[in-house]
Amino acid sequence: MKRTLVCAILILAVAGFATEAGGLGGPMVIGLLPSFSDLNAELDSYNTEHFGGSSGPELSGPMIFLGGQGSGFIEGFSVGGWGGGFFKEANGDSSKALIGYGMGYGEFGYRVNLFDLVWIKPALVLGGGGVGMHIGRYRSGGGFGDPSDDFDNDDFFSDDESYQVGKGLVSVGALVDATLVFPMNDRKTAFGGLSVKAGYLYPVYESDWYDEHGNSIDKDAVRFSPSGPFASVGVVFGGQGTSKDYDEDWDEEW
Amino acid sequence: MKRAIILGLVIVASCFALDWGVYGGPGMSFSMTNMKPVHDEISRDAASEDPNFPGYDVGSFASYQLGLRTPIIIRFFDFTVGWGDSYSWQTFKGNDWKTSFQHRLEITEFGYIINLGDNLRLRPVVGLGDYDIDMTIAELGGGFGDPQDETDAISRSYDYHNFSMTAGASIAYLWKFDNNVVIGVEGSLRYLIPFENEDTWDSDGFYQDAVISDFYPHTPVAGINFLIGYERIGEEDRLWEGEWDDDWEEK
Repeated sequence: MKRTLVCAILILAVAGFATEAGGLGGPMVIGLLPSFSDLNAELDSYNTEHFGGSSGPELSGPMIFLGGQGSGFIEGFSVGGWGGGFFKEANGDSSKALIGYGMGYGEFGYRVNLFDLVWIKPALVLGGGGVGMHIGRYRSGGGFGDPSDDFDNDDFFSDDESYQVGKGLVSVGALVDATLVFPMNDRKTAFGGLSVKAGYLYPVYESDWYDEHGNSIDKDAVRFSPSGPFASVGVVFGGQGTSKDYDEDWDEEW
Repeated sequence: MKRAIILGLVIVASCFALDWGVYGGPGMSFSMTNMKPVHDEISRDAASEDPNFPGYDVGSFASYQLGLRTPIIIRFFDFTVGWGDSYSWQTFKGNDWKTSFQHRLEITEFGYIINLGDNLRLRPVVGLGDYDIDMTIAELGGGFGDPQDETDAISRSYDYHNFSMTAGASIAYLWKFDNNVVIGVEGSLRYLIPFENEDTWDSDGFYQDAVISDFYPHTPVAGINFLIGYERIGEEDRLWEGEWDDDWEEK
């Protein structure tokens, strides 16, 4: 799919300056709100069973992704992609869970230009992502402690005291993008902007979990997928042109 | 190799001002390969053959496959050649075991474009290629494993390849712009017929290949995908350059 997206963006970018066409891109931050309840229940029982604790790591809040976006457009049609990744962690009384994650989506939408100030774009997305989790023994002293105390706390990464597991998924979704556009030259062919997206990701395929030794863990036994409602904010820079602009400028210069 | 062929064909078409186009776009695919014979073989009670092995106990499965497709299509005049790869995944699960499949269609298709209107195009196609299925039978856990357990997973993997042909049609609704860019949506329906009736499942490890006598994976394959492309078809698409040159000379 990456190959197809790159071809599509190149086609739009190279061929785009005969009609109203252009492209834009930039960094973005995404917040995704999945349900952690089943995963937290498993982490709590895991904390008790394997590390002797009473209160397991509890993940909450949004999964934050740092990433980027890019798209090309011709007339109203827009084709592009976005993605990102980051990590999140939670501490229990005897263990810690560290999740690393990433996702990438192709985006296909229709752009409506409102007063050359705001572009509103409803779009469909198709893509996927993955999650890797490291669970390990963790001891917290509750303070900074005595400097003469040589207590070793590296169990979190030791083979006998930690466990790694991960999964992947394919999702479809829908979103609305609103981009506030600031022209950067008189002809309005270059611009900067502020892009905000909001939408929902629905998993069409989820793998089971696979651990570090290749064992499968039923996805229905530990339910978690990085999907659900999401929102993003990003800065974009880009350019656009039309055949009308081009011809007039050429005539004037001639 | 495919990329080199595509690039070569596009360069040749550009140099000689032929009617040509290139299209592609991601989408979803849907097929209905009958996996019941495979399921029956995997889940059958093998106690009569080996009293120490009670069978894989794989309990449930779906009778369809849902996945992704990423077609790329090259056009010369009204003829097309396309690579219609599609991927889908499927899992049978039991209490202790699971079987996961990746279905992969790598079909090269030849077609002919029939214009049904300004925006509507019908494309009958026939194709040849591989229907590949990767299968893994593995133990299935009901929760995360013990951190002190360092034993590797027990699993078996097999690959299935069946050279196949497809026949069907695609219908596309496209918008074409002044700069010859086209954007639209394409729906497709094919029927896939494998050439081999009892092909083997090749083992990936030190165990025997398998043959499932009743398994013959003929299936309808439906798909829908976005379509983005560029084309130069007929005199109209080439006039733009000529007019521009004439104006320039007059001035």
